Amino acid sequence: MLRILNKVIFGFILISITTLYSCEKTVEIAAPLNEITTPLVFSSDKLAAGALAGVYTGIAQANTQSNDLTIYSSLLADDLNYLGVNPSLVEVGSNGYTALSTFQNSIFSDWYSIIYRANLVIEGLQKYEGTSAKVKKQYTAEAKVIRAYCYFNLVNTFGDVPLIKETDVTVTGLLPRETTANIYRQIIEDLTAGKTDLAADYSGSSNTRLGVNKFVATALLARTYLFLGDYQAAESNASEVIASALYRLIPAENMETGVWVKNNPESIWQMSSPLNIANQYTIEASTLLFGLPGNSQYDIRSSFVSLFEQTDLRRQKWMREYRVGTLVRTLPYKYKYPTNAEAVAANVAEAPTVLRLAEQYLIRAEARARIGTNLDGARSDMNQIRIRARATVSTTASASGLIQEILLENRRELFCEQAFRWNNLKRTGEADAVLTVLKPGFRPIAKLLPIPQANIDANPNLIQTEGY
Amino acid sequence: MYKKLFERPACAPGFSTLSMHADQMDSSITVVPILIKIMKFSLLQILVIALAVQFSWSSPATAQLTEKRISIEFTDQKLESVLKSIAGKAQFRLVYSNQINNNTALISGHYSNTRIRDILDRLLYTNQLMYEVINDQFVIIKAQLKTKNGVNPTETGEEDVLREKTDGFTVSGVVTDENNAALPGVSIRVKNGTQLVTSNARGRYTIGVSAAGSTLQFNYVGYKTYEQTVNGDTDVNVQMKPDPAKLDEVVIIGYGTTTRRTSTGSQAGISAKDLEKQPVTNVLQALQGQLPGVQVTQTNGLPGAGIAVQIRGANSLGKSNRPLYIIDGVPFLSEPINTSSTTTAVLPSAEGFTAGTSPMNSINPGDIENIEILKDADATAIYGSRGANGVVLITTKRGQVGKTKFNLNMSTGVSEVSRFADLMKTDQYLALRKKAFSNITTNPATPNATNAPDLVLWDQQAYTDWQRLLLGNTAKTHDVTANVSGGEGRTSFYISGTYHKEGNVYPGEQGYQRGGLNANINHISLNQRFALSLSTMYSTDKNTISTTDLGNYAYNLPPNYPLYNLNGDGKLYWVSGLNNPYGFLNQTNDNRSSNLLGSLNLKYTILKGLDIRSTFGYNKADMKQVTIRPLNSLNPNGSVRSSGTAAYAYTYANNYIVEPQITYDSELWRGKISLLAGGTYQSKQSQQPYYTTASNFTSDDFLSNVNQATESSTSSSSSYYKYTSLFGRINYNVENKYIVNLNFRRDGSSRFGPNKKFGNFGSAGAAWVFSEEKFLKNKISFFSFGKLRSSYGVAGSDDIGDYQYLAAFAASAAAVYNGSASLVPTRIANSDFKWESTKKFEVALELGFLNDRLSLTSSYYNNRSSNQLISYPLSTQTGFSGFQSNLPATVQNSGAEFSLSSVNIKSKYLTWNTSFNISKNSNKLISFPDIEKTSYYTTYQVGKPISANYAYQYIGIDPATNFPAFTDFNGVGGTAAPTGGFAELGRGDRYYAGTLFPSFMGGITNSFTYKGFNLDFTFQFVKQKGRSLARSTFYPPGYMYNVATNVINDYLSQGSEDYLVTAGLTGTNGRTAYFAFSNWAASDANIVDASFIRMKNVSLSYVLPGNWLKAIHVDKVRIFTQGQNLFTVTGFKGIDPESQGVVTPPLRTIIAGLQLTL
Repeated sequence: MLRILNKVIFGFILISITTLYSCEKTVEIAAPLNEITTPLVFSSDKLAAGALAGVYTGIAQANTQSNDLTIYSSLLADDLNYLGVNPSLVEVGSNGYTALSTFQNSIFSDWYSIIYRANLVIEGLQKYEGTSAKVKKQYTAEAKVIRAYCYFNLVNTFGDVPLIKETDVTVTGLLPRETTANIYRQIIEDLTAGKTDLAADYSGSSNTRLGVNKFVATALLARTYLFLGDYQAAESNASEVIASALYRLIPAENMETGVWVKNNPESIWQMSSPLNIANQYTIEASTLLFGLPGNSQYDIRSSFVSLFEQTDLRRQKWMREYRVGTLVRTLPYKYKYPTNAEAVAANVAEAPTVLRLAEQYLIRAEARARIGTNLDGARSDMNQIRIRARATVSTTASASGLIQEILLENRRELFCEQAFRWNNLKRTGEADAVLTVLKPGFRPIAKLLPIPQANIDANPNLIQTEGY
Repeated sequence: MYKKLFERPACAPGFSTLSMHADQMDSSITVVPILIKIMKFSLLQILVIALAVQFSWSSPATAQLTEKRISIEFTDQKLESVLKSIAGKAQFRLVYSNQINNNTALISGHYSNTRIRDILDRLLYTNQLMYEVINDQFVIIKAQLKTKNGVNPTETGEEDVLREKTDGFTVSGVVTDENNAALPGVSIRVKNGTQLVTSNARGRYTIGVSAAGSTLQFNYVGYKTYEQTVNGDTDVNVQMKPDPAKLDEVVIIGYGTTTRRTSTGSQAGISAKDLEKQPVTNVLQALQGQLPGVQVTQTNGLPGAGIAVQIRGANSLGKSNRPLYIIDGVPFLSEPINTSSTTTAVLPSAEGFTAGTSPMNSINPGDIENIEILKDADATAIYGSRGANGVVLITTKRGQVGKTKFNLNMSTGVSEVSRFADLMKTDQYLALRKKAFSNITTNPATPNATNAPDLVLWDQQAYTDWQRLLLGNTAKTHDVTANVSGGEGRTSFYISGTYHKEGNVYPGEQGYQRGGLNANINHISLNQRFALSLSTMYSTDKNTISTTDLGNYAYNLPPNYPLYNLNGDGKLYWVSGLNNPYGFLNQTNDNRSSNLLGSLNLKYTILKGLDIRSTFGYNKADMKQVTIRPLNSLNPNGSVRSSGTAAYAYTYANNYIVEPQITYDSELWRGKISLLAGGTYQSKQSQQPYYTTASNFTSDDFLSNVNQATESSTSSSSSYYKYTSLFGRINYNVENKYIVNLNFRRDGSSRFGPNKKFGNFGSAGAAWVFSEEKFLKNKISFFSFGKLRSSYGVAGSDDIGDYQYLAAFAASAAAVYNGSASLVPTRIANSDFKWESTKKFEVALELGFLNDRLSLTSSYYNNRSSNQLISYPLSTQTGFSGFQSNLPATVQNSGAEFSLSSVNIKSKYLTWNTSFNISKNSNKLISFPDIEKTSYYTTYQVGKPISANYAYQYIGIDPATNFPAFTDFNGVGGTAAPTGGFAELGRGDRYYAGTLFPSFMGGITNSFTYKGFNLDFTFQFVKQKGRSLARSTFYPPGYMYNVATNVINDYLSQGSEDYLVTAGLTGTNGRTAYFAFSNWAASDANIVDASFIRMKNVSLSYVLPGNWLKAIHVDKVRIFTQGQNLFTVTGFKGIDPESQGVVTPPLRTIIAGLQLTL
């Protein structure tokens, strides 16, 4: 018995020794359950759609959606006042940031993280075989439009920024800042490609406005050309969007929530809800309306509230007053549901909006006014917006008067959306004059946020913005 | 004299490496390990069992050997030659005296399938001879007795009536220790002979001796070898003398054993004896201050807190510098279970603030026999790629052959925080707040309900000492451990069970509980060629300590903060910017983990000196976490919630390892050579089946039921790890004087990309025991031992995450976009990174004086780690903040260690032992080519330690601004606004202000024994610089946070309160005052001495006199009381110089208990 046992054991040990000699094979491991290798992702249309969805969810992230754009920019400009004690938000609201500030870290890294994902989709579709030609073309164009959108926000926040067009970190990790002009050149190139390659409807995104199509690219081109001062191009691109049958302004009687619900005909590009596709509320609402009634952290500056006529529906429907003791404060009330439960209860699905038709009217109005050859058209475009809001119709005849009115209309229509006010203050050169009055500590360098110190530390070729 | 005949080639007397040494050694030194209480075991424990088998005399009639049937034919041969033939055929070993040669008669015979017994009886009886069979292997031929012998020396009572007195006889007796107590497990052998027996539970032994004048050797670990020549005495009683230097104690090393005398490597260890004196939950805590070169830091004082162990400094820039843990030969999953998978989804656990949940918590310290720390290349290179940061070898307790013993150990005790910071009282705090608001120079403002509830809303007289309230409770500890051990013949067992319960110093019922079972069995076959050892250890623990360390809240909560709403509704009070600490206490955190560790060791002796063996290990660890945060525990000033939130996670890891080995031991020229070759195959799989976060429950009553959440998100993840190696060792020992040891290992790890998976490691070590040289040996009376040793080698590290080379996407849980589940890139893949390697050099001198009553070891080492594996920081412009890579940087750790142990007094009743150790390590980044082109240019400086204080140089208050000024090294920004870069590089104003590593550390232990009393105490000392409490105080005086009075006083004494005190960022100088404080806090003004001397441990025990107990059949009763962290001497003004910062500091623990042995 013992001898048999001995032999068995002996054999066992011998086997275990010999198993060791199969070398490389012995240390090969399977991919983790929760991961799919990059080549596999780009080997089928279905998985590639997932990678593209990853780019979109990057923008839809809570932080990207709220802080990176709307909240911070509204505080940086003169739309909102911050009432709380969070030192970072106090810093943002007073434009008192320095090279050591950290709130801008996530703005910088969030946009670049989306750019990385977009670059990876563009590269992956080229590098690996398996996706259809149609998907290759469409997804590449969508990724480029999203990349352009990210750069537009980056360049308007930080000024010159590194231009990253690939995923190889040995190259991208050490790139210095690129001039704003070159960044814009890239933005226009990407948007033009998107305009050429994308469908003129929402077939690419299952007929929801959550995806990027030809008109998204066109609308962003209009915005970009306006910023660059190419008013002809801005005018023609805006016209293309306005001419499309896909879009129309939500009428006054529905504008309270109609402009913000998912897939409304005024919207050109919307995000899905950040945490879960099924969610019907927005992070904007949950951040801005938080703490109501007595404890909100935000207040729309009264100087801005006073710019509205009493009859203006935007004053009535898109703002909400609240009282703290004897004080009356005003909150943005475009998005209305701070929690999913409330949105579900009201049977309303809201979606954060990136682009909507009203902006295109205002872009065209401004472009026409600045070109000066079609002032009637300019006035008419602006009045479309005023009429909808039940505000007094303009009859101004002079170009300069119109431009001022259009800019004011822009501010009234697009307050606490995207970064319109902050960007326009800087674009029009009014920032220093306006903000110095409102904020005692305001310095001209504050128009551009400092590059996060951690990035300068990690990339010796990055140089801090002058003045910081 | 007797001759030995090895007619049969394959029969060895023992079957282990060590027993071979024992056989072949000629000196008085012996390394035979015998089953005993305090010796050390290993994966080679089988050999212990092999030698622990009690030899017994067998009568020919009962022996199995003689029942064997053989066929043999011989014609005209001498008896001697016939017997040799029989021995050859029947495979036994023949032992006979010279007189057999006198028998020259030629004999013939023919036996077919005849019992050996019959053949031998026939042949021998006619020649006036008889035989005896020992242990079924040896046949001793001897002359027949003429007369009967009436003495019965054997236990079995099977007295051979024919025994001859003068030539082959038995000796028996009792072996006792220095206290005249029976000493079981002593090995007794005939010098130059083959017989070996062990003393039984009563210390009694019996051994067969073939001739008068033979010398008996008595060996017992921890005792001096005793030799006695026997000249026909049948009774030899021996009293063994302890060997204070323990030079010949068996010491476990990687894949083998050695002794302190002959080892070529550097290691230090502590045994169960030292462990049982310390009331610790985690066995690693017991190492504090005990061993040179081993830095053990407890991150906080909560039960199950993370413990960081660093051996000889930090080698790596980017990794944990965690040593490799091996328990009974099986690598232990030492990384926190809940962070080992690829996901970043980790639920916090109380232990995990910084160092992570330590799975080592699941090991009951009472089950540990010994811990050895391997340090230099010679000791660690056999572990190849995982040995760079040192190796911690843990051996668990084993059963002993002999009387079945029951041992019970019960203790109970209390723990508390021993030091608090001195914080501002309400009046002082409020005065400062008021000053802040009235300060026209900083931010004049009117206090209102939003910006100053403490001044406007709260009771101006209220005062709560938050430290006492939150951390000032007494935690109770209960501990019960019971074990049964014993065994008979060739089998022994050990079974233990343990239960440990520990409270917390927080208010409420939080606590930590652990239960465990440990069982092992050891067996050896009758022919001693096959041995096995199986051990299993299972433990489970439950930790319900808050996930949030309240230390921070205890420190900075305003003294008049109301816990409950002022309207008396009994609900917790919340205000923006502050968290109510009772909120955290309302959150339930339930972490349950279990750990199963099983190992099987098999060994088979093929030929004399040639063994094959294999270790099979299995380790499964899992952790289930449920964190429930009800609505009333959450600050409503953060987000809108309709219910509380909950999170649930489960993580497990399975780890298999097979390590086949082959060893060969032989004599070579004038020395002994030992060869080892082996391999490792290890496979580990970690999975997190679910990690679920849930919110928006229909009601807080359903927080433990995820189905009731309207929002939930679940993710799962997994990772695999495979590891394979081939390794070998050559050890050559010439006369215990010159010893050379070579190790080699080739490792492959799945953590590296294709073509980078394999790496080679190795070492060479040598020792010269110069006290063995003729010119020294026995020449200088007080000098007893001297050894010079040195080693050099390369070890490595693969302690990085899995899959870093894999380009992949992860599906993100709930994020579905436009119908597709979104896939998000997980990392920047790099397929080019390779093994980090550490070149280690060591030279050491070991000396013993006065019969080794005083022994000293001093060593110098120099370790250099290159190919640093790091997560290379990237500017986030790349999309990520870092990726796995190698750096060409080289980090050097060099230092010296010194340890001393002495027996100061040794008399009949009183002994006094002292051991002392001190070590100094200096760490330096010695090279980093092109550092200026990397992101490390702002983190490290060549020539400086890798953990350093780069600080602004505080030069006092600038009279022009009334704010702190700092040296403007780089001429940018002026003295008021220092910039972050390194002054030495001209990029900023932070200059090198010293290292954060201790400049030296050590400990001293004194042990007194007087009759049954034992008193032990250990002082730990660390010389280091630290950061003052100001560094943990994030807000300047005047903010709505409390601050230590010494920080306030230090700061305000610098300048004018009119400027330095502020309540916010706005206003005239609000921002300036805020940054002034944070710059001052980060300046060299707040780098302070954090050295300390801590009474780490005191243990007092009393063993009740034995004669009281005999009547009630109790072997031993020991009562004890122990204290941990009793007091600390330090100039550090913070809460604790070890943990620094504002965490719950290590606790003072006092326990009392009883140990009972039946």
